[in-house]
Amino acid sequence: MNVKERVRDSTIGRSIFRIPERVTERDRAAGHWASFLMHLYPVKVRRVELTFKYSAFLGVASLVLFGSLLVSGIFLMFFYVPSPANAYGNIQAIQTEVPFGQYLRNVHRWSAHLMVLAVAAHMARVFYRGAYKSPKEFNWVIGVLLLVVTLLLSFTGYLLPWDQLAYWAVTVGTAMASYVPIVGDQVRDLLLGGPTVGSATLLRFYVLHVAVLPVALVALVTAHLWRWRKDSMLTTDEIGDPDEPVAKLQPGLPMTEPANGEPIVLDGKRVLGVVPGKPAAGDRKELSDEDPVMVWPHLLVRHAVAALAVLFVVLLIALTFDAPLKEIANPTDTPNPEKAPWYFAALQELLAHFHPLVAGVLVPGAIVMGLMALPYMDRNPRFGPEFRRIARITFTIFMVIWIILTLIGFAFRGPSWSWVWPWEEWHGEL
Amino acid sequence: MSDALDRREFLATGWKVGAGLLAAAGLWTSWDYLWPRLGAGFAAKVKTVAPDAVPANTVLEIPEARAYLTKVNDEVVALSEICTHLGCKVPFCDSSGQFECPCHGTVFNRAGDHLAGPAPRGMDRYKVEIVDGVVEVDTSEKTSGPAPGTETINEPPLGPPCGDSHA
Repeated sequence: MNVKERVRDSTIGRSIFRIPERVTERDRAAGHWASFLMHLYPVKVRRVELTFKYSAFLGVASLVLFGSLLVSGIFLMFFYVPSPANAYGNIQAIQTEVPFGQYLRNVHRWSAHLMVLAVAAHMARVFYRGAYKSPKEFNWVIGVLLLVVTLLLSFTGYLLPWDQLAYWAVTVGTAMASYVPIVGDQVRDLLLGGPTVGSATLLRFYVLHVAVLPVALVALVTAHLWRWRKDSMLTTDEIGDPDEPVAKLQPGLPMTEPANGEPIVLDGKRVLGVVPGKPAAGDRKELSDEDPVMVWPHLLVRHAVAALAVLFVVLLIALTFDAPLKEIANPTDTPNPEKAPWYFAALQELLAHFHPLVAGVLVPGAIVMGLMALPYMDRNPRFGPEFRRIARITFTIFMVIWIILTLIGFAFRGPSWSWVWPWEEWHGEL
Repeated sequence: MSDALDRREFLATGWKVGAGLLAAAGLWTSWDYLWPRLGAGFAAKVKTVAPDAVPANTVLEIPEARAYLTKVNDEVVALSEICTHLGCKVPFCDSSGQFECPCHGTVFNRAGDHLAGPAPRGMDRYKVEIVDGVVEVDTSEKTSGPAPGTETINEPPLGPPCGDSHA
């Protein structure tokens, strides 16, 4: 008996680790029920969900990036005071005096940008797979809310360095809110804590950034994962019969693989564990994409690898590129050009062509409401891509337009929002 | 069952109404608690220069008031330097004699009339008073800028624009 086993078998060990040794499938399933973190995972998923092409592990990537943001953010909080007199100097000190300060700030900055990308890509992947369809409609809605909260987190964090980039991006971003009919001005004043971006704004954004929005995000993510767990085996067949669930968990049957539906009988007794060798009841059938597999260890090990890959990318970017810090915020000098954060670049581009009520309120409002209404408007019960041509083409067109607008606003606009080729003069800001 | 409200129904409705009232009260107090206490700082009266020192062919920037002073038809006006589009600071371009917003390229003439670009109206104005021979700008009293198309003055650009806009 080695040390690990002795610890686990001691009175104290058994009171902490209630998960049995994962010998049989029932033990593995019990591991989910007995562990707080693991119980957010389903016990089994369809085999296809193990593949990269199914999800590209974008959901895991989003979650890992959020974890990276939490850790690096907490470190940054030790050296940051949210007031106009201190904030900018604090960031300078973090970058120049605090050991690994620049690195941690880089991790935080790039994780934030990557998380916006990962969440948006995750949403697109879920759309193309049709995974928002019944019974997962509401989990899609929670997902849309998570995208909104992610953007708000990134936007509130944008102000905190209190440099020119931060000050004017937030001035423009919050000015959009004032075009909301009737309550617009009040909402903006409440956000800013005054008529213009000032010390009250910095404090308000800080509180939203480190307390209100992270708690909201954690609450939503928990619900999101829980529903994923609950609905994990309920997706209907890709071939398109909506009334025929592909695989049902059958409680009461031994959970051995392959699940061929027949209780396994050996010597006249039902077998509850995994028997080495050939199953007693019939030959092993070839596993199909839709067959259930145990999450522990098959999915978990893939998630662990995906998480490591994401962290490795963040580490590489943070070691290579430094987060930008411009001159200290100056309310009497607007930089030219003035750019919103890149994820609002498409909106800023629209703002140059349409009335702010249209570009700053109606368009983003319609996008969020449209995304939330999508699973309820799409009455097509089929999942297969060949049955969803119109949905896929429409979604792709919208996405391409949005990406083009973002690229134009981000890289092709120069002083006074004039057209500038990015290879002649670079004006993109991250 | 009688039609009259029985005890069970009364309690079942009562606690929901109570919870609703509590939520409404919470929302109201939160809103009031977080509502910014305006009036301090920026929104105040700013003493500037003598009326004779206000130029009639260019503008004079008053940073404390976030405003420009200029003479329009022999009258001193104070133009808010905050763009009516999205709140950027609008600089005055000496070479063209016009205001050019760096954010989305809105152009205003010297009197703050909207000439081109996406802003919904001309530049806002602050109330001015001559107190003891000095122009006083009251930044708490703002009137919205003129609708696009209004021509308070008719001054063509003096020269090339600064922002190199729409090149």
